[in-house]
Amino acid sequence: MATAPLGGIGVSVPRKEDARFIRGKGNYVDDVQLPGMLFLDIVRSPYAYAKILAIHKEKTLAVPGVLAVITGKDLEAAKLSWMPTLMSDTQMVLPTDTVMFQGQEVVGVVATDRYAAADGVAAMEIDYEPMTPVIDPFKALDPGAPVLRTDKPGKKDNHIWHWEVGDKDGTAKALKESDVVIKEKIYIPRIHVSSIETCGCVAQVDSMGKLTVWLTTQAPHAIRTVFALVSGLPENQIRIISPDIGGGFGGKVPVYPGYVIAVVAALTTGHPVKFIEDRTGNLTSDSFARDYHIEAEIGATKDGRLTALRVKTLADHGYTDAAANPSKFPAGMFHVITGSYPFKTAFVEVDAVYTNKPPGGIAYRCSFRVTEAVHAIERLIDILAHQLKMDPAEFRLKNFIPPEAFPFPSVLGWTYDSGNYAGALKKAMEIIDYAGLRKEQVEKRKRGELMGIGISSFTEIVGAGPSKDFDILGIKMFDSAEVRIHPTGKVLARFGTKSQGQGHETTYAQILAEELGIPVEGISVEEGDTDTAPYGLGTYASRSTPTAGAAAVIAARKIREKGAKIAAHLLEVSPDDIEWVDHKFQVKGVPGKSKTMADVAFAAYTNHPQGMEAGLEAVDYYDPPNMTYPFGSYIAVVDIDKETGQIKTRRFVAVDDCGTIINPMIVDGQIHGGLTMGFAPSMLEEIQYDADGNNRATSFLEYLLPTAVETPRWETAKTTTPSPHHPIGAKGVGESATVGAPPAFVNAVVDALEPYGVSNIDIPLSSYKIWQVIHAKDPR
Amino acid sequence: MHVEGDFHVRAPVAKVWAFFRDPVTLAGCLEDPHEVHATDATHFEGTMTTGVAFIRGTFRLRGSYAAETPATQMQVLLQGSGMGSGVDAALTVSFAELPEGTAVHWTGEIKMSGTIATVGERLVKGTVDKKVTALFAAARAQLEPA
Repeated sequence: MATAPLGGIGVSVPRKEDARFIRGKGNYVDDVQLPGMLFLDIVRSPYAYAKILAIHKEKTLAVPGVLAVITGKDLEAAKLSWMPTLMSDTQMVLPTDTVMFQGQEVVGVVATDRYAAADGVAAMEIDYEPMTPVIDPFKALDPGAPVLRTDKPGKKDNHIWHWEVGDKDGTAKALKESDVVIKEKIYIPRIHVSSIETCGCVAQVDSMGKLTVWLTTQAPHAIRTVFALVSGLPENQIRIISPDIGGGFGGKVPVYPGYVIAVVAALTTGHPVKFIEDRTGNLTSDSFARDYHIEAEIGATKDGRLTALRVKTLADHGYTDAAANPSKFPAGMFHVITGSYPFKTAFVEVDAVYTNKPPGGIAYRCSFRVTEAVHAIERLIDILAHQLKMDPAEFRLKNFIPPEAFPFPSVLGWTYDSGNYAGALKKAMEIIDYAGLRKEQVEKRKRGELMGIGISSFTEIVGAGPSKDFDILGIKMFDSAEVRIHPTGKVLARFGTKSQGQGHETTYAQILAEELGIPVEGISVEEGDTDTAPYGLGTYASRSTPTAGAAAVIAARKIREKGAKIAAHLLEVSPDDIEWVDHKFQVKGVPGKSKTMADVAFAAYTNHPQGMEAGLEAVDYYDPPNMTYPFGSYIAVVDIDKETGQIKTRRFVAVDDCGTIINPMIVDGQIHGGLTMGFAPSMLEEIQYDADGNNRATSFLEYLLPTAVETPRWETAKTTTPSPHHPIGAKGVGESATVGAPPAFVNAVVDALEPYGVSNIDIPLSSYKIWQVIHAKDPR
Repeated sequence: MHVEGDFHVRAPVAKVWAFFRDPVTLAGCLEDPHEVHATDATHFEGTMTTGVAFIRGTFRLRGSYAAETPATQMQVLLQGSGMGSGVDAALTVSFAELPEGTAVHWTGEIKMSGTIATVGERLVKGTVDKKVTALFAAARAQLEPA
């Protein structure tokens, strides 16, 4: 491992990017200012489902400063009124005759300034004929339900796809033979990523016809390819620049209609065009997460051994499936739902359905439906433990996959790389004094006080992914690093990923510092410009370190191979006599005879061996052999006020294991942020629709984000179980805490409410829901 | 949202009926800036600048009279859109002769969509009640003898 001055792996190096962020010097899309730039604003549908009878442009065009109005008919003429989603479904850019959800983009207004564009939007008159929307996903599948996607020839219902995995008959038999079987319905509601920076872009076409788009995107290369496919422009004539991003969390993976309209506006007006969503537009039309209606059964023997798991799920995707899942897995990695337990048989099926809601299905800081899976299994384990009258910790410890079983083939098709689940849970129990808390709970129950303890022992699956299984729109999910060492020993490294606040400029530099022996401050990291960075699939689903981080290691080691030859040349020995020791090239067995990477870099440009190519650089496109499987155990302790139903989180201990830790401070930051983003939907966040399809959370007045006041104090700790296949043993960590936290909260609250006989409460755990449970009946 | 109310005025029922049957005259009682004109014998349209909570701006209105029984009952259908919101209202207005004037009873449903639908119903209802009260006060001033 590196010494602190080098700033390599395991050192809490201050984040290099913070030098600009904390001084307000970040460069976001909305900071881009170009001469002659125009502004786009969007008229949105007030109805969830309606026919467009007429669009009256006259008053909008009469607004001073308004230059153009773009409708679906205009785009249809250019064959641009529809676009593909990342799940190979289709999505309207602008509608020509029917609006499919409230908040849908209906008309684009282009003006000389942002205010004129907004005035133009306000002046727009559109005649609609409202129709009865399909809001309930179960009713959407009723035989008589209106068929929403009439644009699809032959479509006779609202069913999108059915996907299943596992042994259906074997699971049914195992459940039938189980001593105990419990069945539970769990709903994971719609939520929204709510990045502080909303989505937006600036589109510019230069005098040579090249399109440059500054875009809030987590996946610039994939987006460039999609733009090329949609627009017909040659891909070399498209440049996507993703500058600093103010939070992505999955919401900045898809292509949104506003982006395409802005590009069309730039192409037609000849001026650069900026589009920045307002908060309501962001909350009502951008892709949503979750919305899974889960019905699950889990079986066990009477002595507490798990037997089988069966899960049936209905996924509400809104009017189009715009998720960003790998092609092979339309329900993402939901089938990691067997969790940390060695089930012998399981069966999972998911059906997706269209409704009159915005496109749904993106991840929101969870690796492709893992939050839903973890929530379900960790809730079921608690309910089953209760049914068996076993302590939930004891029940988990009895059933965990043992450390010696790794690599562990799960019954639903994954191969878990490494884990020590009991180690993490025992550590969390020790930190929080689990035994002491249980004693305290007994005493409090005697006094009629409501105190609960909730455990979540989750297994994540991140790092998509091996090309044999993972692609998006056919593009394999590798990622890349291009590393160049300058003559003076300084490094420029470019990646196919894109940081949205995770700290890539620091962690990638630390990986390279470790591998190249060059101090971290001498390493510059660039991402997000498709004209300069190597092709990659971007940053989401905690994939950057498992893929691009690995690519950085491999590229650095390629450089070291060449460097060894140059060092041998400088030291006048055979390359076979050179070894990499203590971050330098050294003659085997002669510690005093060595060359640093800086020495070698200078020679690579000034004194390289004859016949060798000059320069010192390498590129690697890394195709991971497997996913990585970070894990952890969380324990929440809550107290509930019986009069108000208010939940107070007294303590929350999070023990995480993400393999080799590159920067402990950044990992802690990721976990603190993730825990808060797990707390938020557990307690506050939900996008609800009324029967007419009205979104009831169109601003932060209704869509409640936790502030520092509501957020509990997090206590974090680590265990370290390296990934055996990642070149430095690292696993992703960006989403573990968001995935693991919600079931810990629900398990704690349900545990506190044990006297009332409740088995499940769906998130968010509002005070009103809790009050209703308490006042529905007297405690047993 | 259900709305219902009564309004008593010291004027003969025929005069009150005629007042309510003229959209331009009736709209003249609105306190918000507006412009309303009849498009035929039973239809009217116009604009009204108004606000509920933080939502303020101009609504485009279209309306019609239906199911009329002269001097007894009428149905007023209203459709409004603007500010990212939509409003659909179906109101039944009944007229009954009193010894000293006319009793007007109205009842109906207002359906909201878009941004305005996110505002709490109590807040919207409070605003509607306030504006209706102001409208009838202005109507009474015009209908009753000085």
